[in-house]
Amino acid sequence: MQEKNRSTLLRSIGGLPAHRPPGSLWESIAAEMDFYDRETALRRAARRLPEYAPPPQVWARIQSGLSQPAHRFTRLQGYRWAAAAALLIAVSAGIWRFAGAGQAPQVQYTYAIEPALTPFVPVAIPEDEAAIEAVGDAFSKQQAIFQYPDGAHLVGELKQLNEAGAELRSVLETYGFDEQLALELTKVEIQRNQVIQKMTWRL
Amino acid sequence: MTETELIQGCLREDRLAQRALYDKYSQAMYSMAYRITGDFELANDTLQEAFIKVFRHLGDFRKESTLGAWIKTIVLRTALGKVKKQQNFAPEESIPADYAVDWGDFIEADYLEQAIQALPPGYRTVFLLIEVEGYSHQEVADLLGISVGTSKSQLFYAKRRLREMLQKML
Repeated sequence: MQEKNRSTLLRSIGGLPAHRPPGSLWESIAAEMDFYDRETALRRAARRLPEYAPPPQVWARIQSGLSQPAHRFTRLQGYRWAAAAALLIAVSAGIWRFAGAGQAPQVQYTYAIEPALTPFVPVAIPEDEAAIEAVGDAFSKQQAIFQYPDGAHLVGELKQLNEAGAELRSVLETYGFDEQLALELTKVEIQRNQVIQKMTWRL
Repeated sequence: MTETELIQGCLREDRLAQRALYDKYSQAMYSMAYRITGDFELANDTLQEAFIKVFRHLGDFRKESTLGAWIKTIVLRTALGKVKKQQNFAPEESIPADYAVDWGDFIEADYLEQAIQALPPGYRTVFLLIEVEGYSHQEVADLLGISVGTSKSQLFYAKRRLREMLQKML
C-alpha cells in the first residue's frame, strides 16, 4: 500500500490530545501491587520446588509401548467384527433353541486363582522393624498437620497389620510351623511393605 | 541437536532422538505429573502414556506453540485424566472482599511441597496450574471444565489452607 502525504497524518497523530487517567486508577494499581508483593515469598518458593527424575523403567516401558503397533480400527476390522458378532448371535440362537428342546443338563465351570507363595516364616529383622516404626511415627506426626486424604486410613492399616503380624508370629513360635499361617504372615508382610511404601512417598 | 533436528529424528522413529527428547523434558514433566496426581506410581503411568502419545502424534505438532508447551499440555491432560474421579471442585463460593494471605518474607520450598501434597485434590490442581505452571483462570476453567469463578474460589481456599499448614510447620 502506498501513502501520500503521510507526514500530514503523522503531524495529526502528534497533535492528538492527551488524556489524564482518573486518580483512582493508581490506587487500584497500588492495591494490586501490594497484593502481588505479599505473594512474593510464595512465588519464590514455587520456583524452587524440588524436581523429580522418573525411574529408568518408565523409558523401558515407553520403548516397549512404541514397539507395539498402534491400535487403529480400520474399516476392514469393522467388517470382521461385524461378521464375528453375526456368527456369535447365530450360534447362540441355535444353542438356545436346541438346548431348550432337549433340556440338556447345565454344566458350570468355576475356578479361582491363588497366589503361589512359598510357605516360609518371614524373619523379623530388627533394623527393618525399627525403620518401619520410624516411618510410621514420622507419617503419623505429619498426618496430624497435613491430614492427607487417605492418611488416617494408612495409619490404621499399618497398626492393624503390625498387630496381625505380631499375633501370627506369636502363634507360630508357640505351636511350631504351619504352612497356612506362614502364608498368611507372608501376605501380611507384603501388605505392610505396600503401606510403608505409600507413607514414604508422602514423606 | 536443535529442536527441529530432534523433531525430525523422532518422526523417523530414531530411538536416539526419541530418547534425547525424553531426556530433555522428562524431569519437568514427571515433576508436574507427580504434583498433579500426588502419587509416584500414577506419575510413572502418566509419563509413559503421555510420551507414547507425543511420539505417535508428533507429526500433528503444528508449531503453534513451543514443543515444550505442546508436550506439557499432553502430559497435563493425561495426568488430569488419571485423577479425574478424585477431583471434587466445590461449587463457586464467595471470597471475602478484604481477602489477603500474607506469605511473609520466605517460604521453605520443601515445606511448600509437602503442604501442596496435603491439599484436597481439587484445591491442589487449581493451585498448581495457576501458581506453579502459570496458567490463567480462563485456561484452568477450560482445562477442568469449571467456571472461572470456581477456579478463583478454589485458588483462594487453597492458599488459605496452605498458609494455615505452613504456619503450623514453623
